[in-house]
Amino acid sequence: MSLRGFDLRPRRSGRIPQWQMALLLIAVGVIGRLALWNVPNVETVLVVSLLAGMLLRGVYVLVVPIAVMALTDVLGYWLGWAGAYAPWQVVGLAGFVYSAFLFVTALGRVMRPRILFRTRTIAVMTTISIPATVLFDLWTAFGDWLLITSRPPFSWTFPQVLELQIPFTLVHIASSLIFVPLFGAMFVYLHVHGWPSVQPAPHPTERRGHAGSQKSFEPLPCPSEFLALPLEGLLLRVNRLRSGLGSLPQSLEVGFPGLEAPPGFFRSLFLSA
Amino acid sequence: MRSVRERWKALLFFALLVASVLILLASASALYPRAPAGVVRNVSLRVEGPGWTFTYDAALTPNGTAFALLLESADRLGFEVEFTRYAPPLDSVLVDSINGARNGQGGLWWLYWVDGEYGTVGADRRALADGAEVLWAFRAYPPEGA
Repeated sequence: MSLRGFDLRPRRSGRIPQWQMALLLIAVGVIGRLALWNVPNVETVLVVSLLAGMLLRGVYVLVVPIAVMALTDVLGYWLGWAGAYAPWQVVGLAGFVYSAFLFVTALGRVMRPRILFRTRTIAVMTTISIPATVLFDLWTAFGDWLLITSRPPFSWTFPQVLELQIPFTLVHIASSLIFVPLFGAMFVYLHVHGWPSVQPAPHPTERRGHAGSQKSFEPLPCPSEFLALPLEGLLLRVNRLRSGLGSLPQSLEVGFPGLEAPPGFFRSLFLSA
Repeated sequence: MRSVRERWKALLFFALLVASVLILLASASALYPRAPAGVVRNVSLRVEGPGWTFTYDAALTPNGTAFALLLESADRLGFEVEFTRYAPPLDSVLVDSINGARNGQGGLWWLYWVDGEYGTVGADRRALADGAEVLWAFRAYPPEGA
């Protein structure tokens, strides 16, 4: 049995289809939310909503945040993680939270940076995530106040709610500062380069795919190519020398009778190499 | 040359991120109020479950929060308390069940009051004063009163 090494070389066959990218974003959102269920305001839904706005198009932009929230809400209730709130309060709060995530997606769409696998792109994404997080918290805090804490037994004012919200928003911003660069870098890499290949990497001169793949083509040599570079350089020098010899007078080219290159195809191949 | 510059940019960005996250978490922790731990005198506790009631009095106890007093009474009277501890910044507890009565059963939940005032913070963050009366009751949410 032979085992193939995992080649992290970009596939170069074009961008990942939208539906695959959307599914991957949904998976990150769902797993992150369920895994961090008991850690308040540390979550991955905001980052996937933002990335959906920046990397996807069409209906997928809306599908990602809604699917993540709907799946995790249903799973949460099914697993018995529900709270004590009345159904109308849950539905009302869900309206605020879902609309807040859609707002984050829209913000990502509107402020979409140029998508290159560069530090600058990730830094811009991370910067955008800060006001997105603050606005998300303001909107959902308003919903919480309107539906729950403005009523007995709390009867709090909205400024009181905002004051209590501050430490939670700080943690939420910290969560965005961790997850947006982490998942942002991963998804931007996939968006630009495609899936890492587990097959032998294609030759750099090989042209496949549609026009979009040519646009996103970026030559990244694999380790074996680095090793081959000095040898390739040597061969190029020899070929150049041969070309130079080809332009010399006939008498210099063939010093010894009997060693002359054969006529026809092989001769022209030798001289033009 | 470009890749070296890109690498330095990435390192600088990473360092900035780590510093920002640490500052944010430290600020959040400093802003969230903590209950002052202290010894209290002559406090009483009443636990009203579905069809049963426990009462407990302490002349002097170092467990000066609504939650700590509940745990002390559970230890002395021999009933079980289950709870979930939430990570910072909430950094607080939610009582899930007392003596087998679990949150959500029959639409009822474990709620608490201190001196007739409904607890609006985690029970481990509600400090008690001398002579405080604590009530834990299995009731519908939102509660109508003590």
